[in-house]
Amino acid sequence: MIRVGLGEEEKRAEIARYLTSHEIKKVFAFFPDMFPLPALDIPETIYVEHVEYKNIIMYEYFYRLLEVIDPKTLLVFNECMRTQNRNDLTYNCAHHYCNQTGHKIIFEYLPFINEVDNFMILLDFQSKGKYKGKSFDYRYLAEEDVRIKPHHFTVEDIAIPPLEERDIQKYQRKKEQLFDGLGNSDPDTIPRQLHVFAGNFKKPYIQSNLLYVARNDRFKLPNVKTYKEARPGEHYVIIDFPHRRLDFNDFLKITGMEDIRFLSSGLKVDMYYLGEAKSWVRRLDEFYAQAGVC
Amino acid sequence: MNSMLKQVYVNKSVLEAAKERVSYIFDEFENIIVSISGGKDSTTLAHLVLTEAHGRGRKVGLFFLDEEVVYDSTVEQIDYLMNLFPDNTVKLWFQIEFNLTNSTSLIEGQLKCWESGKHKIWMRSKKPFSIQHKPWPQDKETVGNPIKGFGFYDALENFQNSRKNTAFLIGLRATESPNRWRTVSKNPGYKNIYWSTRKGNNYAFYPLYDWNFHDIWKYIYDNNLRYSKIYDYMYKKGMGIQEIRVSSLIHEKSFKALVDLPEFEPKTYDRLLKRIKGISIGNIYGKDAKMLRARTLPKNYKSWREYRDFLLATYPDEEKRTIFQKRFGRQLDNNYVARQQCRQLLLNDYENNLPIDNKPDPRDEAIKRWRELL
Repeated sequence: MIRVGLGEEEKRAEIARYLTSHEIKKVFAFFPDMFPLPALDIPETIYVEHVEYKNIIMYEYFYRLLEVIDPKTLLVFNECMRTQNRNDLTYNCAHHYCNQTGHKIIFEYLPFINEVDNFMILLDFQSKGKYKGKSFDYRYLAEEDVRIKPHHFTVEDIAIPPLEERDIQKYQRKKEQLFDGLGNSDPDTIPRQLHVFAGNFKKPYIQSNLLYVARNDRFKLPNVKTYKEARPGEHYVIIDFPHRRLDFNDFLKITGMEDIRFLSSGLKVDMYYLGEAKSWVRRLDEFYAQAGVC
Repeated sequence: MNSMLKQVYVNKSVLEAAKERVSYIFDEFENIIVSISGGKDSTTLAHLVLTEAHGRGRKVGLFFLDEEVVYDSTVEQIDYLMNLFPDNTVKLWFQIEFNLTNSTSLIEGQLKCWESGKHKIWMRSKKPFSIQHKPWPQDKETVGNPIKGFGFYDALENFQNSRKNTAFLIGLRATESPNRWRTVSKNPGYKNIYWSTRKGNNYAFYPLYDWNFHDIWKYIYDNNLRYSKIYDYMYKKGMGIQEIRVSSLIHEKSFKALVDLPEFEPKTYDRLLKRIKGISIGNIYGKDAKMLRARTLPKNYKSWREYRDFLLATYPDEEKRTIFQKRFGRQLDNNYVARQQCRQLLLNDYENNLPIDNKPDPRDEAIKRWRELL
């Protein structure tokens, strides 16, 4: 079964319910190191093992697990959608585990990373053979045991006062410098660096009574945290977005934030990242609407 | 796997299907030859075919084209297969002279396997029962690339041409090499069979074409078959599924094996060092992004194009340099293509076995896009 959008307590309750209604002898819980499952309240007669996502492909786990996973084993995948590549080796190895038992619970905070088609990754865990080579279709949500608790995000643009001409010139010079000095580097490094550069113009507008998050620790201010330092329950104003959508999704999962407030310089690079975030939120809302879980 | 090739599950196991295919080939052909390499796939295929031959009281040929520079474990595996059902086996162990690309040296870019007069430095002695002279008329011998001379694929082709009405069985699997599989399965070769291709007067069949990696290992386990020790070494070393393969040791697709060879088979490595130049280069740099793999541009060059021009200008073999120049002259001149050309030059791939994706540089497209957006 696939459960989207649940919190830790709800996940525990789902697992407990499943164990009482099925004859399960073993539980294997898979999770990336930043999203471990909380301690489960499971009877001692049931064998429980936690396996980190990165170990799924390791031989020492792979073949051992193939030997021990049987039809009375429950597999729990916690926040295991870590790449948009549906044919990723880790997914493929996990599918071999899934093929050996009908008992699977797949937890994911968001239904996709960036595109609706990512949901097929969750369906593949549930039933790989059935969906192989198929693209996403909303009718699959009704065909499988899928429940979705939606998270609706809002994106707010907090504009700083218009930049002075000399700052705009600085930005232009930096941009040209990045293009000219690109050499053989990846062109995607240009927006990443330019976004951080634009973030520097925002320093005078950082308020001491608010928490902020930036891509690195360059501001050296106690109320500006890096994405790695973000804590559950805290609300942050975004100074720079991470370049990878997955990193931003992780941040939202960890903090539980649903109102995204972005301190914007008004420069084109900030507008690009802001536009990408808004567009992602629109896709997410459309998914919830089409899935009938608004 | 590529979306063009979709696996469709039917109500039959791959083992049942393969047995039916092998049985069909026995019904249709008097002469059957299985190509073996010492790897897991050909081990499985050889066992399936020999079992059928044993049941029918028939004989099949086991064909092994010995490249000389192979793992000792491969030789042991071939010995094992050829003695598995001796009454049903015709041993076709070829130890003839042919040229093999040496990707690890620009000075000695080719190895002449089993070169006469050099028996003192051969990797090992020839088998007393092996076929040591070409069993086809010299005047009918075909050579694909006169500059390279008589090579591995020429030996295969001439051997196949020397036979008539023969079914050649090959352990090719679609999941292992989708591109190769697409090439060989486009049209039916024999009657309406898509898992076959026509080879002159003969036919090649691929009875394991729909098997997966795990099907092969299950068969080997279930039938308690011996397999090459190299797989165990690679497994213990923690190598990934895609990396674990047994092949020759020096050509452009297998040189990476030299990195671990001293650890896996030190004696084979010692003999190889004496046999041909460049082996220690392959051992040290086989997995290095800057060297043989040409993944990272060396710091001395501003672009892959500049690096390619340097490699081409300093390429020591005049004849092969001309091959590269002609080929590159037909391709686009951008850094994306030039990186692949560097790889061909570094690995002596004048035969174009590592085909070049000749298209506009995706980097240029990305730069254009960011210029517009930022």
